[in-house]
Amino acid sequence: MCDEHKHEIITLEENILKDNDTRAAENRSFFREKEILAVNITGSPGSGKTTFLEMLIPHLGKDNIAVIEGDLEGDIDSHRMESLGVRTVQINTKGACHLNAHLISRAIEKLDLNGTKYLFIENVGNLICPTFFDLGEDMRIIISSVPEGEDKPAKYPPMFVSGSMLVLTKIDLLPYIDFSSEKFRDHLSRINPKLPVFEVTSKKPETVIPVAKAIKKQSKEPR
Amino acid sequence: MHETGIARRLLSVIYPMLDGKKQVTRIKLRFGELKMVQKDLLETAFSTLTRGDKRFKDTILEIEIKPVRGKCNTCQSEFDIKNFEMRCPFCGETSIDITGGYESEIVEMEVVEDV
Ligand SMILES: Nc1nc2c(ncn2[C@@H]2O[C@H](COP(=O)(O)OP(=O)(O)O)[C@@H](O)[C@H]2O)c(=O)[nH]1
Ligand SMILES: [Mg+2]
Ligand SMILES: [Zn+2]
Repeated sequence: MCDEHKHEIITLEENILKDNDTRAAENRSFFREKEILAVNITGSPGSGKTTFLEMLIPHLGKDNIAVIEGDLEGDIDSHRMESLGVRTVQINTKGACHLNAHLISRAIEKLDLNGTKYLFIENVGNLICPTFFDLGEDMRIIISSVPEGEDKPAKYPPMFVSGSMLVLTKIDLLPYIDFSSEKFRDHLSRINPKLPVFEVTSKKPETVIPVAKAIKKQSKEPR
Repeated sequence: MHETGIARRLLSVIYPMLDGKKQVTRIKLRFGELKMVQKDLLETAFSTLTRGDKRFKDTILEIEIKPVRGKCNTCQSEFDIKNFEMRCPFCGETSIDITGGYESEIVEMEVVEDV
C-alpha cells in the first residue's frame, strides 16, 4: 500500500435520481391541482404510439387533450398532432433515449393547459430507459405491436411490470406474422397479472374505443 | 443507454465533494433489479465522461444489485421476487405489491489524499 497516501471512505447514501424524483413529484402535484390525467406512453420505436394517439384523440375530444412529443430529433410527430388540432409541444432529447421529469416541467410551461383533462406524453421509443425515469405521470400505457413478437414482455420485464395498461397494436398483421397471442398473454400474466390488455388496429379505428373508455374512467375531473 | 445519464448524475453528486482530494479509487453503487443497469455499459459511460481527468484514472465501480421485493396482499408475506414472477411463493396468489427493486443509490466512495 502507498504509505504516503491517506485513504478515506466517504459515506453518501444518496439517491442518484433525487433531482428527477423531486421534480417528478412536483409535476405530479401540479397535475393533481389542475385535475389533469398525465399519461406516459412508452414502447419500441415504430410500435405505433403516435398512430394510437391519432386514433384515440377523437374519442376523448381534441380540446380536452394536450400532447408532449418526445423524440431524439425532429418534429414529425408534433406536426401529426397539430394537424388534428391538438395543443402540442415537441421535445428533442438530442441523443438521450428517454424523457425525464425536468424536460416535462419545461414542456408544461410552454403549453396552454386551460381545459386540459388529459396530457399524453409520447416517450422516446425504447423498452429500457424510460422505466428508469419517473415523469410524474398518473399512468403508463405500454404500446406493443404484433411484429415485435410475443416475447417482449419476457425480455424486457421492468417495462411491462411498470405499466398500468397495455395496448397491443397492429393486430391486422396477425395472419401474416407468427405471433402467439396466447404466449404473449402468458408472459404478461406472469410478470404483471393485473395489467389490462387491449388490442387495436389502425385499419379499424373503432378498436380504440374500449381503451378510450378505460382512460376516461381514470379521469380526475369531478363527476 | 440510460447508463450515460446515470454516470452524469453520479458525477454531479461526486464533484462537489472532491475539493482537495487527489483520486477517487472506488465508488460503491446500489441498483434495484427493476432499474436494468448494466455494469459494463455504466463503466464505459463513466470512463468516457471522465476521460483525461486524473482524479478518476483508476476508479473502480462496485455495483450491488438489489432483488425485486414483493409483499403478498393475501397472506402478507414478504419475499424476493425471482425472474419477475409476480406470484406469492407462500400462498400462490398473484396480488402482490412491489416493495423494492427500484433503488438507484450512490452508497459511498473511497478517495486518496496526499499527506
Ligand atoms: N398495419 C398496421 N400498421 C400500423 C398500425 N399502427 C401503426 N402502423 C404503422 O407503423 C408505423 C409506425 O407507427 P408510428 O405510430 O409512427 O409509431 P411510433 O414510432 O411508435 O410513434 C407507421 O408506418 C404506421 O402507419 C396498425 O395498427 N396496423
Ligand atoms: Mg411516434
Ligand atoms: Zn401470499
